[in-house]
Amino acid sequence: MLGCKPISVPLNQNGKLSANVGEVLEDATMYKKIVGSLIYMTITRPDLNYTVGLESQFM
Amino acid sequence: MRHTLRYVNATTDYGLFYEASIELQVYGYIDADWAGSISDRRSTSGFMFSFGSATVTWSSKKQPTVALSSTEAEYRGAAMAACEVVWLRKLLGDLGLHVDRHVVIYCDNLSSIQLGRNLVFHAQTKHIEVHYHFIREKVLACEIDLTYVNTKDQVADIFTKVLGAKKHRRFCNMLGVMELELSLRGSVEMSSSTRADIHDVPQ
Repeated sequence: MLGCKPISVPLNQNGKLSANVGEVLEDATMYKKIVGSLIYMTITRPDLNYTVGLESQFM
Repeated sequence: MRHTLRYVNATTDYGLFYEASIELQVYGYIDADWAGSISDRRSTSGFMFSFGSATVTWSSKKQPTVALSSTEAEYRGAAMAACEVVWLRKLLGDLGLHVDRHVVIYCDNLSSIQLGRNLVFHAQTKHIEVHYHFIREKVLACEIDLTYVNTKDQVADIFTKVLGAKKHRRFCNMLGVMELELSLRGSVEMSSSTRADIHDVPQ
């Protein structure tokens, strides 16, 4: 994560998340782990609250 | 997800900043995104309450039922916020800070404000469950005041939809989320003597 390019918004405004379209993730556990960590972040970061809530709907 | 992690990476030093010398006043924002979910068309509502310079309590929640109109979605969100106000007033009272005046909640939906003040559009709102009219009771009791705010200043937007970079930055500032100079990063270095002390527990 430290090597990735920084960006100013937590989610792409034009992108739509969908449960039925797209490929199934190879490593679903990793996704869940990351979401878990992000949920921990929302305790002190209200700016991430909506994004993380949205992402956790696709597990 | 990758996008979010990139954002987190860019903003690791962000946090809520509570200023010491500022008038302590409670006010809140409430917003709802009607039928925002593409899979089941439920609405998302969000609210935040600010005390002093930054927000103290906030929520972003997908509503459990489908709302038939944007008014209904906002009204339900407002009822949730009203519950929070009741709790917040009690908590502050316990801490010795009595809120004498009503708590102003900013909302960008005029019809739900009217609905909160008085039961108008009776025919259109018959289906709204009774407990959602909780907010009217609180408005009548002068605990809450619903006030209109333009959508562009609606901070609670950040809890209901994805925003552009400029708006996101501005709302972050309004929430009190900012770059903090203080960093919690660091480590404790133990010298060999202290380490020895830990292991050699005195008998």
